[in-house]
Amino acid sequence: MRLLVAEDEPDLLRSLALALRDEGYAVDTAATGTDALYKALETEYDALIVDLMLPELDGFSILATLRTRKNTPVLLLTARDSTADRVRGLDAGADDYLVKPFDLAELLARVRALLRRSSGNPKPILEAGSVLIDPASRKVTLHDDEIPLTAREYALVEYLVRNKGTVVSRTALYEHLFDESEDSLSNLLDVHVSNIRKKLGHDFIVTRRGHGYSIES
Amino acid sequence: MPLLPHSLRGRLLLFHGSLLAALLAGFAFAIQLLENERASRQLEANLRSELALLSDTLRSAPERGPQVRNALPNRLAPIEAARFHSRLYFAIWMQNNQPVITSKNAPREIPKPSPDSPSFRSRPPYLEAVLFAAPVESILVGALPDPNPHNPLAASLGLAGSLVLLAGLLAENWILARSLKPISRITHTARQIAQGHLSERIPTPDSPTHSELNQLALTLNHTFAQLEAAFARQTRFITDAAHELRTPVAVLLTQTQSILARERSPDEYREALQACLRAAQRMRTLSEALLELSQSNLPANDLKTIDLAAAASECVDFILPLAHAKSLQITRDIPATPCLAHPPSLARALNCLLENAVEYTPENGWIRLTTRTTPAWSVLQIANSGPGIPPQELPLMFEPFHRTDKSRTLGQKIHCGLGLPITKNLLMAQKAEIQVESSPGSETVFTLRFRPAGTLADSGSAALL
Repeated sequence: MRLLVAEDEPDLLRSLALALRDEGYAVDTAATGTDALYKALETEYDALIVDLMLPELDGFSILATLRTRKNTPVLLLTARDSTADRVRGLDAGADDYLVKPFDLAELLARVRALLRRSSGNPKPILEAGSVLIDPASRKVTLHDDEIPLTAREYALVEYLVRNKGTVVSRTALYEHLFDESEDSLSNLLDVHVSNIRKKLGHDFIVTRRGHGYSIES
Repeated sequence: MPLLPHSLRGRLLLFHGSLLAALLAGFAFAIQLLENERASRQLEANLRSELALLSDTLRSAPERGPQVRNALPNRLAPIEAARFHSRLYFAIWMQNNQPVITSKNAPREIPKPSPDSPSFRSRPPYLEAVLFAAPVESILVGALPDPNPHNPLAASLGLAGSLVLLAGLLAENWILARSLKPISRITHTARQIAQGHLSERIPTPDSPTHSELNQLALTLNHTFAQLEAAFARQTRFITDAAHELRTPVAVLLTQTQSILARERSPDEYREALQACLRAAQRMRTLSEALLELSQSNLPANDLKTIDLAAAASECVDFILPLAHAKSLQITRDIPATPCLAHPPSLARALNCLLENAVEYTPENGWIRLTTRTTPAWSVLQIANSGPGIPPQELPLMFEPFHRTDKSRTLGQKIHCGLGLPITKNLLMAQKAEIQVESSPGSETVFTLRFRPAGTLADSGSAALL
């Protein structure tokens, strides 16, 4: 899952990115409105976390332009909590709204809820055959046994399961699992896929040669 | 029960009612007087004609000399029976002091008229006319008071007066109700506003009239509008201040919660603590600035005559190291300019403006200070080169928490958006003014106008200027 965080307060931006990366998300950052809009239009993010008061271009303007081209879920952050602001933000196309100062746990839960809704599968526990995935605790179980996965492996499994039944291209996987700062090697994916197969069974991930990977139900 | 009613309407009704009643009573009294006068004239004419009749009767009698006295009762009997039985009476004095002959209804002891007394006399309650005529000595015809004085005029006057008074009071009441209606509207609106409906206004007619109450309503509406604006400004200020505090609190919460989520390296801890320190410093700066802002608009009472140029020069010396670090050229074209100011507030205001100037001037730019004296003001201008301020932002420059995008991203110094509002308050507290102009792309000029030395203007004229 790849997220974009747009926030002009550098300390807040850094700690948000740190916390989200801890949760296994690939996180890009933007400190200005124009930078945020450019990145949001150029990259396939799974969700955007946007501060309303950004220099150059505010959150409302970003939403106005973004919504003409993309459906990426957007969580607005703001220090203004008047009802009018909230209504305006949600009506402009935001999917959720969080008032500063917030608890990190709540932000993370809202991001999970946002991703769950946008994947079209509102169940809090994902399943693929006998494999169960709990995104809140980031635990994967096979026949009720917990299988330890690395953060990257977990992210790969979660992404494929969320897109269960469809073939996910390698490009899409790179785009959703690695952030802008990572220098990804092209065979890194194959290594992760091979490790996951060792842990969850060879047939868990199917390779479609020339197309990508998929998880059948 | 108070002597006077409390309501304006009651008092006016009472006053105008009494006034009208007094007028009507006076009028009725005058009419009654005239009527009495007319009635007495008529009675007098009546008496005289009766007198003439009696006199004719006596003169035409055939008796002469002493027989007259004896024949009189018989002669007079038919006349007395016909005309002198109710209100009118007569008395006849004979010559030679013979006893007086009177009609039966005459009052007793009628004084004998003397030849030099008037021919018509009022002897309350009697009116009497006298004639000296032969064959008797004198004849008197009098009128008794009206036995049952029935006065139809007084009754009709009383009735008409009461009707006029009633009509007058009703009309007065209607006019008062109409003209006092605006007061009840004003009361209603003021009550609504007191309950928190700040946008309520007193309804005023579309075509402005010059009635006092309409003027009052317009004045009150203007006051209400100003109150509402002040209230809105206050609310916005509090919202903005809360907004400014929330961001550092968000930093503190997010930093601590994310760093405590699991074991971190010493470097990560150090970085998080530094971020927390910055957030805390920002909150301290903000709280100090808020305090300063609230104190900065207290009027300075002890204004002194000082040299504006010297004060500006002193402040410039403080920022010289910063300016040199950015290779800024500072020019001072400051002839001595005496003005009235409060030295500590002036220094604080100038420091803020000069620090801003250094910060917003690009490297190798310039800052220029000029002073001059006009008849009305002692003027100091602080100009700096640079990108300038967009015209739409100029009116907002002195609003609390207004910041250009540029100042948000400068990052060098903690800006809380209160420097210029504090500066403006400080200057206004010493009866000075500040204005900003900018030519985008070339320069920004702050113009400060102080009262010239020797003008101890009172606060009234200061508010007007």
